[in-house]
Amino acid sequence: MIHENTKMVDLIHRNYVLITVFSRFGISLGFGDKTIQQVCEEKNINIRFFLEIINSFLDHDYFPQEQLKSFPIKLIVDYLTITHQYYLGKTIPEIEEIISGEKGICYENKEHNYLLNNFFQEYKKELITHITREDELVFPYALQVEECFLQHKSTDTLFEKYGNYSIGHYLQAHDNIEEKLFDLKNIIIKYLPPPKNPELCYQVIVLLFNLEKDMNDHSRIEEKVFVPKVSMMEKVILNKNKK
Amino acid sequence: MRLINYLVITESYIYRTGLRFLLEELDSTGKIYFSDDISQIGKSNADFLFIDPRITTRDILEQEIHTVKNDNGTILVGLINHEKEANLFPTGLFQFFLDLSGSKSEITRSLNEITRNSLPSGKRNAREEKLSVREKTILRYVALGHTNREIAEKLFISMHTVITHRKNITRKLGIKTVSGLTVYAILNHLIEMNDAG
Repeated sequence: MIHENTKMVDLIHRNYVLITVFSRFGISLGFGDKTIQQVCEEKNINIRFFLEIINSFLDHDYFPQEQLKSFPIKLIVDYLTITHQYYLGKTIPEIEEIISGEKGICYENKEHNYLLNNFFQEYKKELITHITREDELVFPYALQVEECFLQHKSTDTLFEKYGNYSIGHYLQAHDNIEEKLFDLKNIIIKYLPPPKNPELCYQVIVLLFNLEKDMNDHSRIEEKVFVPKVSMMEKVILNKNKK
Repeated sequence: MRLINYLVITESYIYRTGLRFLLEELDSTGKIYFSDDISQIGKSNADFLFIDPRITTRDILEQEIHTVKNDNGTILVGLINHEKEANLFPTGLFQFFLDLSGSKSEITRSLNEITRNSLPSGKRNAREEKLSVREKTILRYVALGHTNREIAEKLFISMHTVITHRKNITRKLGIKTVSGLTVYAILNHLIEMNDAG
């Protein structure tokens, strides 16, 4: 278990992937011997929230649902939004460069390049649609639900703006993005022949596995923390409205 | 030929993480569920139940186990820490014991013996991946953009059969989406690039 007195440098030695999680909190390098507490204070980060994210990231069997649910939705939404930006601004372009770029993977048979590129572009399009929907509809909706909940506001504007939308719809729409990514890996690993520049393939496979793992952690937070929390508040404000 | 599912009943974090780690290394492993509630054993449809006997009293344990015994061929494995502990239980309560005190290769060997010998023959060789002629036909239709209903009508089979075939295709190939299957079909000359739906 990670606690506030753990040194930042020890965390990274334990699992270097955490560097990307840190960056989402606006934490960069050069820690010296600073502990989590010191860094969080400096950067004005909610340390309880930071610890829960780190712990659930490191250990999938650790999931302190109740505690995480006690944080304001804004914190969770901010974290999820920044993660989205990271996927679209960094991870996906990196992968795209290797798959579709001029100096990218090159197969003997041009048809193979076409198939791979085509499949990837489809995946990218779906991912963008999915993320945009969350950023533009689901998150603002959740924030407004929380506002109604905390300030005992009437739900009129909520209904005006979002109609009969509820967070339940969101779960239904949590679609086959993960499946496409899974397929993309297998197409490269199992079914396409080795390309002329296999080292690029190795590189992209590592990126795809990292992305997949990161997205699994991301969806875990969405499904186990974000959705139940919003759904709980929805119930309360809807009941009030009936009375 | 489907994969094997497990339910592990224990409170121990060490048992859980350890068993998850070892089971995930076996080729034939499907889903692994965990619970700390002994009454789950009656409700589970896992192929194997791994039970930590310390989870409850002896009486409740025997009672609960007797409720599952008669039905669906679920196999019960007792988790123990020393081979002598196996003698503490009445014969037949568990079909197998798994001694968790050994080295990695010892425990893996026991796991393999338990899972391999006790499965109906259909479930062995979980890694045979070649598509049958029928599956290839269906895959071709899927890649051409036909829906399950259309395929069922064309081949004079039920929707249910089409869905079962599609599940098997996905499992064998490791490809889940229609566009992924289309790529596979083109690469393996089941359809032409220009035909893709």
